[in-house]
Parts: sequence; structure tokens; C-alpha cells
Amino acid sequence: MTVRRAFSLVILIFISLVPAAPAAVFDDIARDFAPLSGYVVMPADGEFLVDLDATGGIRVGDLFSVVHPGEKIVHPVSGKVLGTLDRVKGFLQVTRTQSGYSQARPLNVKEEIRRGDVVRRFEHIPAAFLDATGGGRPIFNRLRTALPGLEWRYEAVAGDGKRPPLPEVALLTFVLGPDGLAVRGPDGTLRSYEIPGERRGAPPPASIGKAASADFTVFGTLPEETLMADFGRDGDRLLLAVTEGTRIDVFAVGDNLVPVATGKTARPGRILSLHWWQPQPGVLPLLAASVAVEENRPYSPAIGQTVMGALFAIREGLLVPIREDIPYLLGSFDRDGDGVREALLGQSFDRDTFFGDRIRELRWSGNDLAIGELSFPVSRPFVVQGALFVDLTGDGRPETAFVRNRRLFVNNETDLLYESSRQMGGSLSVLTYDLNPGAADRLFTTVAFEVPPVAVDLDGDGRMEVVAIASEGSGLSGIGSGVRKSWLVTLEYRDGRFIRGSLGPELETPIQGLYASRKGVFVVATQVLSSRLKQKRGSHLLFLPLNDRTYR
Amino acid sequence: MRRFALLLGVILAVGFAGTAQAVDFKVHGDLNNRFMLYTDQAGMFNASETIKGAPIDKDGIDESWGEIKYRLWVEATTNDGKVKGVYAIELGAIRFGDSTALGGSTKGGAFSGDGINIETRWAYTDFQLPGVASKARFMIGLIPFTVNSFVWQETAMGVQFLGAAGPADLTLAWMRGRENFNTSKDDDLFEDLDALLARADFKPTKDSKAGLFALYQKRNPGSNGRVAFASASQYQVKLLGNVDFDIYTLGTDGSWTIPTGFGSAFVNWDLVYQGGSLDDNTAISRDISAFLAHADVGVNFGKARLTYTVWYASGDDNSGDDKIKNFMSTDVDRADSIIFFEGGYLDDNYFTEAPHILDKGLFFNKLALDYKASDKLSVGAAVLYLQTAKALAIGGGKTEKGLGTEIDAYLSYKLFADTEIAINAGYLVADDGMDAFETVKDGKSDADVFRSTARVRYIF
Repeated sequence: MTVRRAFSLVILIFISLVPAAPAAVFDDIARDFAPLSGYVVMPADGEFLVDLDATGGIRVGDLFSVVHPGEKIVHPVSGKVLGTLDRVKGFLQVTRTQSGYSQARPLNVKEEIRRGDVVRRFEHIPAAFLDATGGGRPIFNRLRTALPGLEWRYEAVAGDGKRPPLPEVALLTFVLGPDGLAVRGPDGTLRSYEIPGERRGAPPPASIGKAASADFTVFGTLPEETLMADFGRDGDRLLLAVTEGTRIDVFAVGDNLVPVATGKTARPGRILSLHWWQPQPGVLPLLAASVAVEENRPYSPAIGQTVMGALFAIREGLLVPIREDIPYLLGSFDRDGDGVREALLGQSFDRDTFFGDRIRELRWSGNDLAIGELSFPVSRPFVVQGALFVDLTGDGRPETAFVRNRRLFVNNETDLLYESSRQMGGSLSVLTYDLNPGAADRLFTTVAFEVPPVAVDLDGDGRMEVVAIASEGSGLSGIGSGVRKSWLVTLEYRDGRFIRGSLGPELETPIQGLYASRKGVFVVATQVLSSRLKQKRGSHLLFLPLNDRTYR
Repeated sequence: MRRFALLLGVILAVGFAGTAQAVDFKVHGDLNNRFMLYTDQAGMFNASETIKGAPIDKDGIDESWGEIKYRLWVEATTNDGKVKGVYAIELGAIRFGDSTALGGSTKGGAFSGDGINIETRWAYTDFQLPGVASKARFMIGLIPFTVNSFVWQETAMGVQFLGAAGPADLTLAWMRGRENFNTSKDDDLFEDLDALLARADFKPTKDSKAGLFALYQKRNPGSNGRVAFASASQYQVKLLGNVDFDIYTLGTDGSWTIPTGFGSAFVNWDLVYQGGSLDDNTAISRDISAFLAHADVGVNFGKARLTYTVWYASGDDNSGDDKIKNFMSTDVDRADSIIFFEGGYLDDNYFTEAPHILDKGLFFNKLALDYKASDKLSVGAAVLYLQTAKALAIGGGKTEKGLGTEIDAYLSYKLFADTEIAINAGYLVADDGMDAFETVKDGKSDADVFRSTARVRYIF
């Protein structure tokens, strides 16, 4: 073999070994399921003929919706016709293609199909995405974007190697398994695609600012080194409070970030957590914070810290402390599922366990803060930080979902229902404190203030799912999270078990704030940037849009 | 051999991985680099508890040095937090250039290092009682132990229970400070120096905390092997020789925070009474009756904190009679003064650790102002006045209580979030009572005392 031939062979081998660029798979899918419009020509032997054939890309098994064009949707300003409010009369599946036309059998016919009816390929078709890998959310999201005409639903199924049963309501089912993506119609598999391994459940991380290559978009820039953030609703307005440890900034999240107020604690300390609290409807919410302060003693080399609560109110553009030195760690909760956190709980600071046994309920009566016994039971163990109440199981009683020791736990009043693997949380808000303050030989430990998970009905089935933060980082860190990458995890309860999934792409930064609605997810991401002189942390508010038509 | 090594490696890896699945590990460190920047009384700070000698020289002895004390420890915790194991090692303190012989080697501070200088600092297991929903934890081993900061706050060995009972937090402990290992059938089980503690902590109101404690310490070596008791040298319980004693210490401590219009005011207090008996190898059977009372009164206003600290520890004016009236701490590390206590950053070099001067008690006064200039910088200053409760014997057949007026100042700056650089200094305008600790006792104080220390400390 000559040198030239050998070199050419090496090139060919190299090219053949290079995997197809991941985007090419979705291009193929988009092409194979591209929308096409045509007409019903005539009925024939119990089936119908349509005026599309193989030259137009039609294949046996393709699905059409038969629509009755409805009222035109006209833009009120430009007068442009944006579309029509179509009414679906039924569906057709191609059984044979001929030159100039195709033959199709009727499915799920609701109204009589007539000659001249409009048919649309792969539009208004009920479709399901069955994820048997546990990490297929990113691929689902890409498919929804590539094929917006389908009426999507997402389901996680057991990845036990068996063929999962198809949902009854779906005519088109995309099944993601270890072997790839199979697309099935009513009669069987229509298409199969090989999905490269690195794309399943672990898409490339998104970089802040590079919206073109990531699903997260940069919504706004936040103060540097944001260590903790909390979102709260004030009527129709979404408020965001952030802190870098010494100062709190409040923004309104609308079309962009609008500064609302700023403030500090009166007593110097390190702000560790923030919780919006609406004790009374119709008034501005208050902001509760847990703050690490020096003990009330004269300075000594062995002086220790303690953790106290503080309460702030927004007054004329300032965040004013209205109560300090509250002797509890504070956390707010939405107990009735209306999206408003009306309950504020305080938990004692215990040096040995950090989150102590004593939990109290705080009430605000306009001018006075009252601390009393709990008016409802809580599961034990319970932590006021990194937790929420949510009815996941649908039994009418809220469970407690909380992140602690890098795991997500779900408890009901008496039992532990779910414990995740050690990947959850990873907050930058960390406290190092003395177990023996005042002693010459300091023994200290660290505790993380985790961002609480959020509850949202992602798939529109009337039952809430939990969205929580997961991360990967150093396993032996004594202080700080050392987060290398983070992502969003979903947890839902279905068929008697908890099913975990993921949402959106990975980020190469810790996530310090989280808010989710059916429109999308806001996250506060703080990126550590090392320069020769100084280590800086840039913070941004990112948004991950969720398609409304996805959830039914 | 290669295959065996490979197999061993696999077994170890799998074994470690299997363990790691159930246990979370945290590593912590306290890397403390300290400096005696300057002192003019090296004898007063060349070791710990130099109060036992005459460390103050009329002409002064200058000294400065650097040293390190590093600690590393591992916490192994189950994922539910119910069991925790802690093991800590300590290096030092090693002075730069110190080649003192130690155990066949040296301390390792001189050329090439390589000395014997690693110790165990803490080693204990901490676990929650199964089946108990509320806090009910046992700590067993070499543990950080606290009764009260004036009575006993140090590392010690024993078993401690921490739990909750209704509105109170309970602490129960059995600690053994010194062992008499039995070697004869005539020895009994009570010859060791054992301590039993019961403590309850409450929150009477949302702005206050209070604690009650009872500590019983005893050692009963019997008549065989007892030594003489001398209060001037055995002024702490840990310094008591092989003597027979039963000491009970009862006390209350607490704090109260009072919101004001300009900041929060606060009060901290300690009230401690000691009683019991002590027999040595003489015919004198001594009764113990002593007390200590302490209060901090202060206010936070803006970034500043002003605190007045006062305490009185009773003293004994006749060590030869049958009454022990001086308050005895067990094992503490007071840091309220840079000159007298462990207020410098070198915690192995100090005049005394106790809140009293030998067996003469102490009347301590301190007015301190601390100011947090920014989230990184803290500064402060204090003026102190100390005198003993009972007079010290000084030269010329005189006695004197006054120790002097001290002025302290400090600055602490966070280089990084976990790294602090700090410097402090103290100057004592000595009263004649300090003649009791001078090499030449002439009935008057001959030397003031100055020391300045610094540290660069990285914790993780």
C-alpha cells in the first residue's frame, strides 16, 4: 500500500468513526415529520384518497389530521393573518402511496370526512414521549421544538428492557430507550433513530450569554457573588430578592429586571437565606432572612457565631429591618398550594445538629411579631431551609420535600417516602460555625443552606411535580460546594412510585435561586470567574421557557 | 505478587466504595500560623501557665518568634446524620527553629524539620439513639467538653448525653480527668478523678437563655499514696494531686437581649458556687466554700459593640487552715486579657488560663469597644483593671491586691473568605501586686509588660 493510499484510508476511517453531529438526528426527525398540507380527494372503499404522494415525502404510516378551518386569527394592529382556529374532524393514516395520490384509512373520526376537507400531516396529532432512560427530558424538549405541530405529553416509564405499553390517547408515540428513539404509530414502528450516547440525558452545558447554543436564556444581570435568592409573588408581580451575604437587593421580574429596594441588617452579620412571606393577603410581602452574627460578647480570639432571624419590609424603595435577633432559623411555606407562602416557621439553632428540634410558627399582626406553637403537624426530621410542602401523592395531605446532605427526601407525617441519590443541592450559601464557641481549640463544622425545591404542574395533569436543583462537585469539600455543574431535576409520583427526571440543559455554575411556572423556569446562576488578581463571581438570572402546548 | 497486589487494590477499592455509599465524609482544617511579634517579658510567655513561677524580670527579656499549629480532622457521617465519627490530628505548636529533644527525635522546627510533633486532638463517636424522634445523642471518646466557660471548657474523655426534655435541653456526662489504674485488690473503683455533670438549658423568653448545672467531681485514692495539698500550686481541679476530694459545683448562666431604639442591649451572667471537702496526707480535713459571679453588660449600635465585663472569683487568704475559699476552675482557656490570659494568638504561651490568679481569686473589670468596619475588617480596643480578691504576698513582707491596668487593641482582616490575618497588642501598667511574680521581690512592681501577637489562619 502506498503512502497516499494509506493516508486516504486513515482519513476515511477517521471520518467514519466521527459520530454524526447530534443536531443531524433532529434534522432527520424534523424532515421525516415535517408538516404538509393537502386535501381529501374522495372516499374509496372505506378509506380516503389525499392529493399527496411519495414525491412530496409521504410514506406509508404517516398520520394526517382532517381539519375544518375555523375563524381566522388576525393581528389587531398589523392586520396580518396569524392562523386559523381549526377544528379537528378526525385522523387518517396512509396505507398506500401511488403516483399523484395516497390512500389513507380513517382513525378516531368525530365528524364526517368529506371531499375537499383539508388534511395536515403531523399536525394536531396527539403524541406521547415515553422516556425509558430517566434522562430524556432534554431530547423531549428538542423534539417539541422541532415538531411544534404535535400535541405532546411526556411520560417516564420503567427502563426494564421491556416494550412499554403505548398510551391510549396518543396516535404517535416516541419511545426513548437505551437503543435509541423509536417512533410508533397505531400499527407499529414507523421510524427508528440512533441517538448518540452523550445526548441522552446529558446535553452539552449551556454557557451564560450564549443563548443560541442553550435552552436557558440570560434574562438579566444580578449583583456579583449572589449567594442566595428567593422569588415571591406580589399579586401579578414576581419579586426576586438576592444577597451576596451582606446586602439584600430586591427586583421586580417583568420584561426585564427592575430594582425595587435594597437594604442591610442593622447588626453586622452574614445573610445565609431569604424567604418571602405573605402573612396577610393584599399587602406587600415581607422578607425573612437567617443571619449569622457574632455572639453578644466582647471580642476574643475564640468568639463564636450564632444564627438569628430577621424580618424586612419594603418601604419607599428601601428594605427596612422591622425585627432582628429573632432566635430562630426562618423559612416560609405555601401550605394551601395557592402559590403564596403564608406560613413562616422558625427552627431552633442546635450546635450539634444545626437544625434543632424546636419549631415554632411566627405570625405578623401588622405591628407585632408573635411566636407560638405550630398550628399543624410537620414531619420529622424537618428543616426550614431547603424544604417545601406539596401534595405529590394526590392523597389530599401535603408531603414535605426537602434537600439535606446532598439528597432529596420526601416525607409524609410519619414515614420517609423517597430518598434520592447523593446529587442534590450544592448551594454556595454555607456557614462554618463552632461546635464549642469560646474554647481555645476550635472544632467547627459546615452546613449548607440549600435552595428549596419548587412545586409546579409541569405536564398539566392536575398533579404537582417537584423541581429541584442537582449538582456535581467535590465530594470531600469541608467548606463551599465546589460545584462543577448543576441541573434541574423533576420528581413526580405516578403509579405508586416516585419517578425522577431532568429539565433543561446542564449549567457549569451553581444555581442559587429557583422559580417555576408552566410558562418556564427562572434560575439564579452564579459563575465563578478566576482572574490573576481576584476571584469574582458573576451572577445572572436565566430563563428556560416551557412550551404551553406541551402540557394538557 | 503483582496479581495479589491488584486483587488487594480491587478489594480495597470496592470496600471503600461500598462504605462511601453509606457515609458522607467531610475534611476540615485549621492551619494557624502565629507570631510573637514582640514581648519584653519572654519569661511570662515562654510556656503555658507561667504564673506558677516568677516569670517577670525587672530588666525585661525581649523575644519574638514564629510558630505553627495545624489541625486536620475528618467527619464521617451517615447520610441521615444519625451517626458521626470525628478524628482530629494536631501538629504543633512548633516554633520556627525549635530543635527541642522529644522522644528520641526533636520537635521538628529546626533545619530539615522531620520531628515528632503530631498529636490526637479529638476522637469520638456521636450517635442518635434509635427510635427516639427528638434529639438524644451520645458522644463517646475524646470530646470537646463544656460545663461553663469559667468552670470547665476543654477537651476531655468520657461519655456525654445531649438530649431534649420538653422545654429544656439536657446534658448528662461522665468524664474521667485522671485515672488511677488499680493494681491491688485493696484498690476500689473510686480512686479515679471522675466527674458527673447534669445541665439543663432553657429559653424562658424569646430574648433570653438560661442554664442550670451541677457538677460533681471526686477522687478517693484512700489514705495510701496521698500527697500534701498546697492551694498556691493546686489552684485548679486538674492540678490537684493525689488527694481525697469531693467537690460539687452548682451554677447558673445565661443571657438576655433587649431591643432598644438604637440597637440591641444584652446581659450575660454566670453565678457559680463550689462546695465539698478535701483531705490530703495531713490531719487537716478541709471544707470547700467558694464562688464566682460574672456579668457582661453591653449594647450593639450600628457596627459597634460596647461591653463592660466584670467578675469576682473568691480567693483564700490562709492556705494553711481547714477552709478552702478560693474558686477553682477545672480546665478552661480564658482569653479576656492579652497579658494575663490566652488573649494573644499563641494559645500555648500564656501567664494563666484560669479566671483567677492562683488561689487568690480575681476581681476583673474590662470595658471593650469592638467595631466591624466592613465585612472583612474588625477592630477593637479595651481597657482592663485587675486585682486579686485576696492579697498576694510581695517583697518586704507586704501584701497587695492590685495587678494593674491593661490596654488591649486588635485588628482582624479577612484576606479571603476563609483566611484571616490578625494582630493584637496588650500593655500592662503594672501595680505592686505583680511583684509577687517578679524574679526580684522588693515590694514594688519593677516592670510593665508588653506583648504583641499576630496570626494568619486558614480554615476549611
